[in-house]
Amino acid sequence: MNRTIAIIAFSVLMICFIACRSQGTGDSENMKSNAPSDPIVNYSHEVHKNVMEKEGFDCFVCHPMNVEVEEELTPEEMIKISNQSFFPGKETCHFCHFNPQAGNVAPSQCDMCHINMVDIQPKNHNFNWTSKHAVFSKADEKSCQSCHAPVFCQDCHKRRDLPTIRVHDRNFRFIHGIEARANPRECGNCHQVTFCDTCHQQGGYDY
Amino acid sequence: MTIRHYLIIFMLVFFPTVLASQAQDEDEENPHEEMVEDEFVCLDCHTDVPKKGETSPTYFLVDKPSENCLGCHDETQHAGAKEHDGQKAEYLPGDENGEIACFTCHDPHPEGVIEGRVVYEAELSERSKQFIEYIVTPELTEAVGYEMKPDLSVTEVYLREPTNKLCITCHETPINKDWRNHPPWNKFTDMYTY
Repeated sequence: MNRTIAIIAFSVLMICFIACRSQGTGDSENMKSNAPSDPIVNYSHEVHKNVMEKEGFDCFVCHPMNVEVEEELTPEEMIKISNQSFFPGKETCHFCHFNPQAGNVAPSQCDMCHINMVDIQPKNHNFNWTSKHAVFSKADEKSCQSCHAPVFCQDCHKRRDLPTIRVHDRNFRFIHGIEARANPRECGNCHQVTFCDTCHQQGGYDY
Repeated sequence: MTIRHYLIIFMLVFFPTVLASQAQDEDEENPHEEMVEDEFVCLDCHTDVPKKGETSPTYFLVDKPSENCLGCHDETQHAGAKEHDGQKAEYLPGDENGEIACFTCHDPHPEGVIEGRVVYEAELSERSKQFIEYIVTPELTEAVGYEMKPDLSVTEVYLREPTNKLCITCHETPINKDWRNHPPWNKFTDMYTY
């Protein structure tokens, strides 16, 4: 009994923790943040210096001081625009880091810069998303491609090497309880609650 | 000669004269260009025409060094200017508090005014120009909600060093090169494995 209460309390705490972390990310419904949570922490000029030089990119590529707005604006608006212009936007980073062109060897792991992946995860990628995603992807394919390369779809829809398991490691069945309790939302990205019930309600797996 | 002839002669003389004087006015509006020929333009910014070898923490300026340029230019003259405001100018000339001012990066004097002084244009590689034009500017226009225009041939900016070298004078000095204390890459690439 005590153990059950402890597990329930732990689950509730974890859900609250994840919900709190998710709050305030994204500008509006289904919108993603445009920048990593804290680019200053995980960007290094030293790391980029040589490759930028080799590619023929000047400092102004990321920090364009030569862009201007022709309209007459208030000083406050000008300061805001100056700040926005001076630091690179999504397209600037993604030109190298999310651009599957032949010969582009820049690392493209999203979590390399977006340390908290929840920041860039669209809000509709939630419980039961696997079942729902077909409608959305057909309606707005470009929206998917703003994060996922085409190979991401093919990895599930067209692969034939079934012995390779894409998401869960082998024997995940035996340890999934720990993962599920640690981060229930993670399971919900693909599975409905009924997916758990199919085994756990039949008895024999009540732990 | 008829009145019409007099009128034509008047127009031929009058309009070129007016246009020429207007062009001269425009030239005179830029004291930086004028000072090469006319040393009294120095007095627009300095209290006296500085002698060779004279030094002063105030540069003999009519206003405080931090405010001297603001008579003609504003703090948001170009993107990123305001962001440098208040930063220490350790390796280049600073204002009365040792902080970055316009003249930290820009030499107000064109070549030929101070002996031996060389100034540079904001020269960009072709690839950088294309990137700014086709990738950066459209994204910025969408982000700020105003039509942004890139100025891809910035010439009369009198930089103290060539563009990239000027930036790294402060941003990649031996002292500052690891200031962001970047952690190893594998810390991130291994984070989301299941």
